[in-house]
Amino acid sequence: MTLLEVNSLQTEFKTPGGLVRAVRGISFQVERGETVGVVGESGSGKSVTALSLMRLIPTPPGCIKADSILLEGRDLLSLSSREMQRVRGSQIAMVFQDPFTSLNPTMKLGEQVAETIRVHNSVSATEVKERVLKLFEAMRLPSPEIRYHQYPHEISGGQRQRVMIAIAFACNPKLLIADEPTTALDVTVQAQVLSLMKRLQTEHNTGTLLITHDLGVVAEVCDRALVMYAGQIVESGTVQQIFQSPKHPYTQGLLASLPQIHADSRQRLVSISGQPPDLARLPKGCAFYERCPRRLMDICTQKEPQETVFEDGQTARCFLHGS
Amino acid sequence: MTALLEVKGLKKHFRVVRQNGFRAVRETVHAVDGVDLEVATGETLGIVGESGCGKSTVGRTILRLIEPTEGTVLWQGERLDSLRGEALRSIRRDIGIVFQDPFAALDPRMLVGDIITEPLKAHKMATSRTERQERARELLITVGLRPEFASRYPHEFSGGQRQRIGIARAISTNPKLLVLDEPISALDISIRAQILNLLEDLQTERGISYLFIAHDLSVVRHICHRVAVMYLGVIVEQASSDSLFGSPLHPYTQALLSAVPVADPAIRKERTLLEGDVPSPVHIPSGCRFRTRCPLAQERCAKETPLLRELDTAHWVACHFAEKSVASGG
Ligand SMILES: Nc1ncnc2c1ncn2[C@@H]1O[C@H](COP(=O)(O)OP(=O)(O)OP(=O)(O)O)[C@@H](O)[C@H]1O
Ligand SMILES: Nc1ncnc2c1ncn2[C@@H]1O[C@H](COP(=O)(O)OP(=O)(O)O)[C@@H](O)[C@H]1O
Ligand code: SF4
Ligand code: SF4
Ligand SMILES: [Mg+2]
Ligand SMILES: [Mg+2]
Repeated sequence: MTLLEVNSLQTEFKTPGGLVRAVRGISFQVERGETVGVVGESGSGKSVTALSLMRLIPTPPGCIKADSILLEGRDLLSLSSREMQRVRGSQIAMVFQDPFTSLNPTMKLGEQVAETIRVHNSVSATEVKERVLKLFEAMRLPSPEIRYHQYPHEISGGQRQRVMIAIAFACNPKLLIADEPTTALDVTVQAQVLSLMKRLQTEHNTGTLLITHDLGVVAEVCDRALVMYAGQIVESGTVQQIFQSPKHPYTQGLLASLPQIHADSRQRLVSISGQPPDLARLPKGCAFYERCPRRLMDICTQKEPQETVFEDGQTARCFLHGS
Repeated sequence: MTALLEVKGLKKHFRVVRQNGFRAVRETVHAVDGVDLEVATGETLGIVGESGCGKSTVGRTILRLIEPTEGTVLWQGERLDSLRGEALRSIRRDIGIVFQDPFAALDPRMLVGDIITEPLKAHKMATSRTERQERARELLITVGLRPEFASRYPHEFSGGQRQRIGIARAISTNPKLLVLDEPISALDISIRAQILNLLEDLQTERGISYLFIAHDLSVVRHICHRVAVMYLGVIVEQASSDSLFGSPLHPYTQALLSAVPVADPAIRKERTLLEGDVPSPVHIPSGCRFRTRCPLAQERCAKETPLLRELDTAHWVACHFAEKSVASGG
């Protein structure tokens, strides 16, 4: 059975400026042990997608609709809030961009991890502590015994993020949702954190939804990727497909606009003109039209392109490839 | 030929008071601890390094936004700190700055046209209002915005547009040097290339020099002619972009480059991962500052501070064993 199956998720917010259509009917799957990257620029709906899956969107002003959100076949939308709370933390864990705001500043680091273990399992106090120390070791936190008794402000940003990942893995989650987990970190620390996360994930066979705006991170650690634009998945496929034969003009533009660390020349970058549309005032037709270098005059402004599935499983939402 | 800008032995130490329980402890943050660098006319010098290594502090001392603890800054051969009055003011016109955060950098209560011509007013370069309005329109066109935006407020613009406004203000006085402190880090991925292209065009058209502070190494590779790598307040390696990225000599530079994720799944590489964190700039390790994380560290590294040596033509590196690291790393 598929670990996570999302069917036509749609999340909207009622705001004074109008109805913000943050996520507009997205469907995707995550298998066990698989890392699926979600890329897109700020405001494209990545975080709202993550929060919707966890049912953490404030309603109102938010409103989540979906045909179904199945975790191992069980529809999360049909659960009571108490049942959903049990799913969070035990079956689905989440890591956010800013670990400082998600850690309790007045509680010892070790205790914060221990608490998560205790809430979801009945094990003896010594065993809990052992498991915390083991997790700290797995996260390569230097001198785990000392860290256990420290507070969040006493350690570095990279170490805080590793504590967050320790908390996330404390209950052996089936699904990990990581929202820009390394965006605030230096590349050196990012490399440490990503490799530790990958190792734990492989050990536990956890499925991961990794949200990022860094295409490099996607290429390095993901198996598949979803490219989001203005609340939709405009392209999806394996990382090989996405990076080697991108089908959607937006993905193509993003890849062409990246400076290459291996390139010898200082060739002018191909840039995407303009900016993303306002989600409360979406144009008719394709949301990328204004910026698309390959737009096909009439049809693109009249109809919304539907998802085309290619033979090898790659998908794109663009009239260049179908309806 | 004298360089446009020359920095010698620059140090900036901050005295801070840290609360340790009930005790107040006086400490010294060695933010910048002896930096030499040069920028030539029309050149882009990149400064890279991990958060807190002193990049912005170097930029701010050059602009005299903060006073250096030690060292000299020479502008076209003249000492900045010896200048007074009109001479100092004219240099202030010659050096501009663009900040990372285009949201915080613009006064929300001012019209865009007034924001970008404020330096002209301050330097008495355009005294009449009509003259400034005309300049504002020209500047907006130069940075790729519509001239009528002059009569709007900053909040009406997106991040990329605000950064263009920030650049328009910075170039309003026709500076010879721009300090760009992470100018695209806060921008969306689809907007970054637009701003990089704009900066390149401005350099080609006007011959402006850039001091480009960044932590994104791919961007630095793309836009900089030369690059200085900083670690804990000092430069550990400095070379042309091609030479630094092509054959990095310092173990820290090698680790930094190795950590950069590459947007090509075909090059998933074996990394030399750096262990541990950057030490506190309050307690700098003896000898080589990098030794607590260096895979090649030896006894000598704790005792002797490695100085910058020119190991290859115009390629400077501060490591006792750089010859060895060429063979092992990279
Ligand atoms: N006004 C200040 N008072 C005390 N310490 C300071 C002050 N300004 C900077 N520092 C310290 O000096 C060091 C260098 O800071 P700086 O802002 O130059 O780093 P940076 O390389 O620009 O980092 P980042 O990549 O995070 O922008 C840091 O340890 C910082 O905390
Ligand atoms: N609580 C909220 N109220 C109104 N609009 C919201 C709320 N949360 C998110 N949005 C809007 O939803 C859109 C998608 O946001 P988000 O998912 O956070 O983007 P990102 O891809 O950067 O993570 C944005 O336009 C954002 O402003
Ligand atoms: S549907 Fe048309 S406008 Fe949209 S991405 Fe495809 S070609 Fe471009
Ligand atoms: S001097 Fe020693 S510690 Fe410093 S970088 Fe070289 S080998 Fe490493
Ligand atoms: Mg987000
Ligand atoms: Mg800085």
